[in-house]
Formats: sequence, structure tokens, C-alpha cells
Amino acid sequence: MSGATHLYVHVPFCEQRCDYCDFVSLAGRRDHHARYVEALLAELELERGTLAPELESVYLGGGTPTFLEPQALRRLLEGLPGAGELTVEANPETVSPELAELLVEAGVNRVSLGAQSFQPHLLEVLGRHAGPDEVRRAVAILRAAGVDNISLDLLYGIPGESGADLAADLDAALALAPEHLSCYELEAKPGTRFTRVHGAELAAQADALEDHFELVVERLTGSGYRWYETANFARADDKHDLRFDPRSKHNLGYWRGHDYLGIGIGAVSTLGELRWKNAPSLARYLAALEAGERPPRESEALDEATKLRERLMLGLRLDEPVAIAQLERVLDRRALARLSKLGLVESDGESMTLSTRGRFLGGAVSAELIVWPGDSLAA
Amino acid sequence: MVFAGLFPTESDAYPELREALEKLKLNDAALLYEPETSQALGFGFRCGFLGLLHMEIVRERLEREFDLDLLVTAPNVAYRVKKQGGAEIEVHNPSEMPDDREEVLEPYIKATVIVPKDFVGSVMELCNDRRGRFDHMEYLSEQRVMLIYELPLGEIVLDFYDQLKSRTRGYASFDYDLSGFRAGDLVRVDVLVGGESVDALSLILHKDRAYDTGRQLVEKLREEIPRQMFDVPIQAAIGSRVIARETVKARRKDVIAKCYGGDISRKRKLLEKQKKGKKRMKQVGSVEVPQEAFLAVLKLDGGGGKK
Repeated sequence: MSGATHLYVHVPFCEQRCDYCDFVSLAGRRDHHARYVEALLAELELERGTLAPELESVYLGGGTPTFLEPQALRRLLEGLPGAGELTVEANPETVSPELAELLVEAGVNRVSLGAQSFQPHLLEVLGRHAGPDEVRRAVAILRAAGVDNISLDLLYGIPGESGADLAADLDAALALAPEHLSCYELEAKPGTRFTRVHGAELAAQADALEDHFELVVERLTGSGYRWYETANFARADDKHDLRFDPRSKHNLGYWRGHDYLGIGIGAVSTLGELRWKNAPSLARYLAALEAGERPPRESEALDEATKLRERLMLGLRLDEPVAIAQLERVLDRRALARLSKLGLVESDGESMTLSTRGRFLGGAVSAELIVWPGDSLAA
Repeated sequence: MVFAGLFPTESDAYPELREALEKLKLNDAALLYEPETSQALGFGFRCGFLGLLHMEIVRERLEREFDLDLLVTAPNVAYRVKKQGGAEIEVHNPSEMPDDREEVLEPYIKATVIVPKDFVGSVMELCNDRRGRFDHMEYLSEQRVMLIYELPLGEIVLDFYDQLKSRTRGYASFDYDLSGFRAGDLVRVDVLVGGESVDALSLILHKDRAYDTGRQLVEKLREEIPRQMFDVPIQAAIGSRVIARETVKARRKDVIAKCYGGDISRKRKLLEKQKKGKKRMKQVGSVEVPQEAFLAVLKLDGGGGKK
């Protein structure tokens, strides 16, 4: 093994906690930013040996990495290894000309903006401060600073969202001509405040979500975007004369089963047969690294079959073929035949991909295709 | 006698069910059982009981004393069938009702219902609904009336008693004796799920009732069978003639929306759970049918009759 070529850096701080968010995040804590960055760099130093000499991608996710104090952010970016793709997640309201300049100077070449929606009434339901104009302003600032790879995150299935609302959101996003779009169905996690407040409404609109997902795929593929992953779209039309492939190299790494190192609280790393997850506690993270030790972690051994199952589960999220030969052990051949007959999977015997309809049912289809522990495979 | 299929919910528990029935039979001579193979439910037993109460007791004992999880099909009566050519057979299972039948005889009972006089009307209505023949009525006192009806046993086995109780606010008492066999205009209604006939759902019904019950049954099944990855037609048919049809529309979306480096383990476990959940279903062709659906006929309004 020559080392991981993907590095994820978790920055948990946010202006405020969003009720629907289930990432490790902490509101404010400005006094901790600089210390946290030093701890990140210390963890990176401890794990340096797991990384390849040259990285394909570095991804700063959150939280809101751009909510970091500018000095701390600069220090972090300067301390990270270079990579072909360096992405930073940003909230629209944090984007200023100064920030854009800082990012570009530090080598950031991709920005992922959490737009979520362009409808004020839906943003309000989400409890987001930024309005639709702030997304447009942020895109303009980033463009002016020379960022030529921008991704927008959109959420659908927001309580009270109609098909027309979603269509308007998609149009508004398309008008900004982002290189990349991620569109997620809002997940209401049981037990969260959001679910308590909106649970009934969310349950009532469950059927509409089928229409929403179809609309997203239809509208974006009809506008020259490639539906390259279940929830991700990359601009693929000739008109725009792209000099690069706008699919996320970092996320492709996950979906193709590459190794990755994740640093920061709550971050997950997968290296060969080992996966670990850093504990989410900020205090314990800082204390450990300031003492020169690895932060508290939970680890999981990945046996070969588990790795292959993940390979299948993740590979089928993509629009590219998955080779069958290596997956023999975990692939249910009878399910493959059955699902092929239903027109959900296409296979030439050597590789397989999901059909369009199969991709809409990708979860169920891959659950069927995989031989799970304890499954009997009677001929 | 009343008959019903007993199947283990986990198909590998069949040997335990056999053993349990053998032991039970030692102190319950009235219990009959013979192995039955259902395409839909796998290996089980067709059991004969003295009546509905006996059936309930046997089921309870099997589950409690032998720790079995059972699926009990809707009960039916035994029919005497005269086939073309004169042979006579007894049919204990609707799916075995032969096509070349000349005449079907069904068991009748003499039912005695005692109710306060205010409920006489509703009891008569119920009995008429169930193809009952009024025999006579007696005033036991100024307030209490005894009604004597002749009724097909097949009309009693599903929910007659529940209906009787609910229509008389619990005041009715009910007792019956077998009174012999009579010819009836009976048909076999088959249910097809995804184009495949499901033996465990076949019913023997009076011709006049077949259309209504068939329609109610497929409607109920449409509610009970979850949406699959393809459209699932559900049909009720008499012979090759379809009398009712519903469709469980295909699911159009089933994805894990987000899946990145941080949550691959969790999402993998989610998929595994999804697959395991399906194991509790019975496979009919390529359709997954929950076990509860096999009891759909018990949940019809009026148990195959009218409201």
C-alpha cells in the first residue's frame, strides 16, 4: 500500500446549529479556533505516514470551515499538504471578497456552497439566516476571485415544499451555472428538534418525495448535468468548454473504495482493513493532541467480505460500471438475474451498472444484490 | 370439523411443529393433522378441529407450551364433493377443490341464539346475510327470545360470533349442533399475486357472495402488501375468469440520499437491516408478501359478508 491519496479535514464550528443537521458541529467557540487548528495539524503530523506522497484531494468539511477565524483558516490551509483538488465547504453568508482571496491564495480550487434552497419561506423552516440573494452574491464573489469549480448543495423535501418550489429552486441553482450540484432529500433524524416540530408534515409528504427526486434528476440531466452519483450532478455539456472533469475527486474516492485519512473531531478514516472514527468531543480532542497523543477513537476492523460489500454498495451509486469478477464472494447471482429481468440492473457478465430506474431504487437494489453475513445462498 | 393450515413463521421450525403436534395429539385425541405443502407458505400441517374454540386452544397451546411462532390460515369447513364419474371425496383445503366436480355438499348447523327481544331484528338480519334458514322462534320469557336457524358451517367459521356479539351488545348467547350436509352453489375463488396463484389464499364461497368478497379481499391485500420494485397486480378469479383486480404500484424511490466517507459503516448496516427485514416475508414468485396478508380474509368487513 502506497498510502491514502484523500484527506478529509473536519472543522466543526458554525455560526449556529441547524436543527436538521446531524454532522458534528459546534456553534461559535471562536476562542477555540486557533487551538483546534493546531490540534488538526498535530493529528495530521501523527498520521502523516498513512498518506501518499502526492494527494489527489483534500476536503475541508464541517461545520462551516469558512466560519473559522481568518488567521486560523489561513494557518490551516497553509499547513495542509497540496492536492490536485482542494475543496472547502462554505456557507453563503461567510463568503466575502477577503475570504475568497484568502482561499484562492491558499490554493483552494473548489468551493462547495450550502445553498439548501432559494425560497425564503423554506430557508426559514430550515432556520437558515442566509437568503437567496446571499447565495448569488457568494457565487459572484467566488467567480470574481477566480474559483472556477463551484458546487451547490440543495435540499428537497423541506416541510411545506411543493413541486413548484423545488422546480424554482432548481432553476435558481441552474441560473448560477455551478460546475457541480449535490441534491439531498432532507432526512429527519428521529429524536431531533426538527423531527419533533415537523415530523407529521414530513410523514404526510412522503409520497411527494418520489416526484421530487424524479424532478431533480429530470431537470438537471435535461440541463446538461451528468447524474454521476445518486445525489450528485456534474456539468457535462459541451457549451461550457470545461477544462476539467467537475465530478468531485474527493467523493469519487469514497465511492470507488479508495483509502482516506480523516482528521478532526468525529472524522472517519479508512486505511486498508481498518476504519476508525475520532470521538466527537472537542475538549478530549484538544487535550490529547496538545499532549502529543492520538485523540480517542473507535475502530472497526473491515474483513475482506465487508470491504467487498461496501465496494458494491458504493460502486452502484455511480453511473460507471462495477467489475463483477472481484465481487464474486458477496454478489448474489440469483438476485442479479432477477433484478436484470426487472430492468433494474444491466450486466454483460463482466460488469454491471444500474439502469435509470434501478438508480432510483438503488438502496433496495444493492441490498438485494449483496450477500450479507448469515444469508444462505441455496442454489 | 373446522380445518386450517398451520405453518411455522420461520420455515426451518417445521420439525419442531411436527414434534409439538405429535405430543399434543397424545392428550387431545380430537385433533387431526396431516402434512401440507403450500407454494406460498412452505411446509406445514392442515389440521382439523372440533370447532373454532378448539382451534384457538390448540394454537395457544402450540405457541405457549412449545414456544412456536405460527401462521394460521383462515379456517374452512370440510366439503363433500361428488366428482364427474361418481367418485366422492372430502375436501379439507380450498386449494384442493377439484374442477371436475358435479356437486358440492357443505356442512350445516342448527344454531340456537338466545337474545333480549330488542335484538331479534339484527340477529335475523345477520343470519339471513349468512344464508341462514329460519326454523322457528320461541319466547323464553317476556324479554328473552330463542331463535333457531339452520346455517352453513362455512358461514360461521370466520367471524359470525364476533358479529353476533357486536350486534347485540354482547347479550346474545350462541350454541350449535351439526345437522348434516346439503348441496350448495359453491365456487372456489383463487387469488393471484403478481400473476401467480396463491394457494393459501383460496376460498370456497357461495356464488352470490363470491364477487363481493373477491373484491374486498383484493382491496385488503393491496393495503397489506407493501410496494415492491415493480407493479404487482392482485386478482381474484373463479377458474380463469378474473372477478376483481387491484395493483400495488411500484415504488419509485428507495435510495440512501447521502453517503460519504464518514458514514459508510452506518449506511452499510442500514442496507443489511433492510435486507433482513425482508426475510420475514413470504416469497410468492418474485413478490414479497408479509405474513399478515395471509390473514386478510379475516379482516374483511363482515368476514366475507356485508357490513
